[in-house]
Amino acid sequence: MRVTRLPVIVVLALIWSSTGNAGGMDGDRELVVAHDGTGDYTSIQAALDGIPASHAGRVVIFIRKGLYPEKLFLRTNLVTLVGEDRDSTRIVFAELRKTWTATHGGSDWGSATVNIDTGTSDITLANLTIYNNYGSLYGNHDHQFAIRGFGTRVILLGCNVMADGGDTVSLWNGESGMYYHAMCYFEGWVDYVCPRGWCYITNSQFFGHNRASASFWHDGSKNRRQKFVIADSFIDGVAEFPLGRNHLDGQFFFIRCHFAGNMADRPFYRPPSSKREWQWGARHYFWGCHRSGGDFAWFADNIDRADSAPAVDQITALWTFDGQWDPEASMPSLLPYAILPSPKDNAKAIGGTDAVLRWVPARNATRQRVVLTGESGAPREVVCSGAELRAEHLEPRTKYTWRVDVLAPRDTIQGQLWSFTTE
Amino acid sequence: MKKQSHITLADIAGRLGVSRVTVSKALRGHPDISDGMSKNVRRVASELGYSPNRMARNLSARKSHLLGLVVPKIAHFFFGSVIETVYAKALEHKYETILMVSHENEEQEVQHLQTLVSMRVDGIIISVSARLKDTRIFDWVKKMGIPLLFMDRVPDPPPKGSTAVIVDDYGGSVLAIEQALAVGYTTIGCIGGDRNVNIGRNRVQGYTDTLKRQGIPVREEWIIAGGYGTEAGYNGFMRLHENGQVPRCVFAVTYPVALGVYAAAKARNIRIPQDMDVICFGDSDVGSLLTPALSCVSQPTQRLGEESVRILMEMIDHPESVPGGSRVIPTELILRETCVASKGAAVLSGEALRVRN
Repeated sequence: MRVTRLPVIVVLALIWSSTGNAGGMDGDRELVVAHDGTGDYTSIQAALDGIPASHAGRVVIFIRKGLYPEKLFLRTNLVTLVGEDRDSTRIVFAELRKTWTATHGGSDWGSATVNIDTGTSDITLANLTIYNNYGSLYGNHDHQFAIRGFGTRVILLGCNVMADGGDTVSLWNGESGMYYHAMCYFEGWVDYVCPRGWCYITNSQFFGHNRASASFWHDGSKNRRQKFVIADSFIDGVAEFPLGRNHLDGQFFFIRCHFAGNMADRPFYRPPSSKREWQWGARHYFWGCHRSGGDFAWFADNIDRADSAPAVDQITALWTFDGQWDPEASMPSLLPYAILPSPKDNAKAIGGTDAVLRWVPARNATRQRVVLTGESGAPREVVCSGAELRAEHLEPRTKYTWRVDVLAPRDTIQGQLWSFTTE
Repeated sequence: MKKQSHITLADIAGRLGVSRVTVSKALRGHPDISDGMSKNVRRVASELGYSPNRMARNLSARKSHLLGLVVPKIAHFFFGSVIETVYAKALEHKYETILMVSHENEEQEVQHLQTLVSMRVDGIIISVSARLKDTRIFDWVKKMGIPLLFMDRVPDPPPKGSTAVIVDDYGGSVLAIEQALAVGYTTIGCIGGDRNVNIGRNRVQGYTDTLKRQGIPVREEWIIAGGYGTEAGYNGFMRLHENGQVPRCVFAVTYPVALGVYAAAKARNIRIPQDMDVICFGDSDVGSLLTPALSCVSQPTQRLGEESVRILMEMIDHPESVPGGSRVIPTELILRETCVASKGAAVLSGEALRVRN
């Protein structure tokens, strides 16, 4: 008999894990920016400048809803900018790369809406919009960065990152840069997502306006192990948009991605302006990718041809970064909903009759309702404050769906639906 | 007792866990910082006993909000009154005034200007010393990008492109001499002043021109230069007296010079106005208390100070919009008990008669 009463889900851990604390504030400091003067600062840059040079721990800058027409300069390690609302907390600044460099001695520093200095690491931007709108204002869609910088361990989480020109997201530490982006929306023109070094993007959406060149670009020429992984994402664009290219050696993995029907039948290529051959050959790998309206042969599964021929389940953030960094293992609670379920969404063959469910809670979520539904019977529900539960007495060969709702004082924010299937 | 160490922005920042930039902006009321944060910063600053290091602030700020004011004397009604006005008007513009007194010494004057420039004042008002000869220091101040305005006393000739606010020295002395002539005096001497600065030259010029216009010969031995203080008046009167031919009326180029004349006349048992009458350029708050009460050309010190600050502010904020040259403040004649045809008329009026030029 199926047990559906509340006790079947036993709360294993009611305390926050060290990395799952709502807001991640233990020992950290939070500054509040509100353009109407109700916070600590009225501009984001003022808050960034307000961080003491000798600060210990992470500084979280919470930005209330509003338009912030600012160009930001991040020069301090361990800083998180988190918006109150992804679509209503907007950092918007128009800057054309050519114009900037022409008036600044050829230097790119300062040419983006968000500028991350060399050597500045452990930066997280979450739940907000960053937009370089030069093209909309002046009709010029040449290179215009929304984010440009160096450093390493830069996270974009639940952000809209847009530019009206090329090179929207340009994180360019080619030696040691590691970049993790999840649940984001990216938009731009040529090479609008173009990391150097290591980059992992998951659960994101893309829209490219460029027909002539490409959407994705990678420079992995400094280390053969550098790679650019895009997983579980939807890639769209204008009619006949090409997917990608690389001038220098690059290594791409597209895992379980869906391409819009607008995508051109054009494989990755080395542009004529490339100055040298790819020393490690063409390294463009795919697994489980499909296109609306039919697949093209060039994105058939081929990850077995990659170095070390990884199995698809091996391709995680930690694997992407060659074991140097596991951002998902230490992800703070920043978004207004729970993320990063374990078992992974759509996981198969979960063994045993019990399963431990884990997630990263929503920011400031003190009460959550976990709802677990099998293929039959009533949903099981439990209210908890933690980030981990044990689900007992699971049926074999059954697909379960589950979600984590945030119980706020006035309303309930329903979580994303995840699933796993038992053995 | 151990002296308490100076509280810095870093101390406040450390207490609040913010940067010095935030503390500095909060104390200046920068709009980047919320009211709540600013109040916290000010509260902690107050608790710690913080007082701003203005010199350090000047180094980092584009504006120091300091004005320099250089005057030749301070124990002087005219300059005392002007200084008070400059202070008050500067404060209205959120400026503080740094006062320097040259004691009519050119070297000190140069040192004061160098000090003010090093303090990065936003502008300077100066009334030059009587002994000024080398004007290159003013070119240097200009080269340092600090607006400079001459007030009342201007070098002769004035530096090229300079701006000044002066009283109508020439017109005022014409008023005084015409009054003496109206009373019926035809022998009028002139004591004080010199030719180095505008005020002495213009006042003496007004005296001589008015006499000439009335066909009265100008007697050089009755023009006794020597400065602007009491001593110049005393010594000047003694020189006139020693010459044997004392004019019926004396025009003193400043109020202190007139006081010196009074003292010398008393020493020589000469009665004012019965034996010799006196009229002067410049007034004092005690002018009416003298015996006899002194008639004078009044300089509008308040207006002089106000106008000087107003124009200097324009020079600081909109330097291109302020043309060089002199703005002339008119004077007025105040008749009391000297140099009047009927002193009773002035007394009966209940207050001094005023004649505007």
